[in-house]
Amino acid sequence: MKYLLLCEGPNEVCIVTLLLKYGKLKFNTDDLIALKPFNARQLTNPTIKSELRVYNKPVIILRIGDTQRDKFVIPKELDKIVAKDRIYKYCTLPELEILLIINEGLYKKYVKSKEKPKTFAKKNIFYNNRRYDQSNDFLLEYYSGKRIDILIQNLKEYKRLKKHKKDELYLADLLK
Amino acid sequence: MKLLKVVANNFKLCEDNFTISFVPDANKTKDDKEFELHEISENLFAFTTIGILGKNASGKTTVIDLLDLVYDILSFFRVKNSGELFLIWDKSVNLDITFYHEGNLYRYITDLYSDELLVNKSIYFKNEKLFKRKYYKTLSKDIFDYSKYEEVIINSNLPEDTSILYEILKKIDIRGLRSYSDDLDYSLYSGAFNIYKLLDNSHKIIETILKMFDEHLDNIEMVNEDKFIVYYTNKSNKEVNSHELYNMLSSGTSKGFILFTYVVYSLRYGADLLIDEIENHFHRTLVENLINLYKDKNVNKKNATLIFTTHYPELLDLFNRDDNLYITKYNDEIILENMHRDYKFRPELSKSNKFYSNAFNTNVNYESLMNFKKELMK
Repeated sequence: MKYLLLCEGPNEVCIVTLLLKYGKLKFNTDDLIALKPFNARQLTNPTIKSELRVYNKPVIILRIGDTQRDKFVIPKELDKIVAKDRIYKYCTLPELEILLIINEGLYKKYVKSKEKPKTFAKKNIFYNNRRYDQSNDFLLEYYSGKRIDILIQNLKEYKRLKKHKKDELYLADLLK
Repeated sequence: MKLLKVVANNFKLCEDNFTISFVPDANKTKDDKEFELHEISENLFAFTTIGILGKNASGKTTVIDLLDLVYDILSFFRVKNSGELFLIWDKSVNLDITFYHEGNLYRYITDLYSDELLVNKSIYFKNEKLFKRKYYKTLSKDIFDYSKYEEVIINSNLPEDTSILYEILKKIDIRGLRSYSDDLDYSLYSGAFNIYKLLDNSHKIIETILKMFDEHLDNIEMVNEDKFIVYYTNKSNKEVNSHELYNMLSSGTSKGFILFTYVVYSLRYGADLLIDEIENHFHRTLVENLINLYKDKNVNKKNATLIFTTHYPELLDLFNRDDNLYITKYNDEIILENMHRDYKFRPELSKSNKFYSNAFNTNVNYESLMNFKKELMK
């Protein structure tokens, strides 16, 4: 069965693409609908719907993002392809930047600051003389090459630190 | 170079100021930027796909003919492929073309006329004018405000059948191409293989295309213009001429092979692709897949636009926007309406499952589609 990978934003796409590139996930791009992760929360986009129709067999949906409280709607015409019980949420709470904060050893400082991870990261995280700016370029520089293993450690450490609700899985669960 | 807008006068039976634009004028959502639009330069967007819908004999092919003519001029600086359009036409045609090239916006105006007294039936350029404006991201909403463009004076001694655009674009380069595979004829194989020469004879691509249409075929090699070797998956092979090849391959395989060859070229080099009656070529699943390739930035990396005509409103369900959908109508003259500009709401076109359920009762192999896509992603 193939997976439809829906990422909440471009940064999630970037992180997942890196993990795929270095073969760190339980699946590879060949297992993905359209051979790539999509930047989308729902199945409303006609291109994504069309990709599913072209495949036309049941798929597993993996939603990657932060809280994902919005109700996931399955369009009627896709009910033979998408089933309610094959949709899984993988969360990074409260925001993806928490991974970088963990890596920099700033987790306690972040908790004290009571700021959003994004805001905190922009103020406190630098790499190669560059301030974190929420861009994919920064993430690519930060986690590419040998540093991919740092990302793996951060994902595992995140799972150790954070307790999710029952239906919210961890990105670490997708690692090989 | 990216074509942004064409306005034609006296072109075949078209209404005055017959206009087709590649630039969005409705709001751009995050989704649209992901699938429907190319960002040519900062804040300058052009469509990844344009759909032209219309009844039979409503002028769909005329739109394709017009764009074919424009790409002729933008590619070769001459009217090369579409010269026959003028054989039955005695008036001069006026074109007003806006395009983006290397940081600048250009507006090019010309009259085209044919001198039938001459044996070579050349098409001549007359009253040519070129205007230019440097593009800045703050100009994105005013790109067609020509009052800010400045005229470019070109002093050249080019022959009358050569456009002054040569002085700007310099290099002959296929900037748009038209797939003719609906009138299939065996001479088209060599045309398709000649495209592979431009693609460094990539055998792997040929193989992945053939596999989408006929799983028994492994590859085809062109030895010369009339000699081909067909390799089968059972390891046998056969040497044939183009007539024999034509008879041997199913018409679907031939059409698909030729059309997808154009697709590969278009995506690799960012050349726009014109396809008339896209649904005539083959199965709708493949049509959907083809349209999706142009909407996928991992594949369509060089900003190619797919322009297709169709009889089927259902295909328009693949579009998330309205401003890249045009409707042709013929009533004394050919009119081109824009779904966004001319319709207050998008008509609820039959979104029935019928279209799709019909589509999937066949054996189009998903893996072979993805293998082809993988080649394109390289």
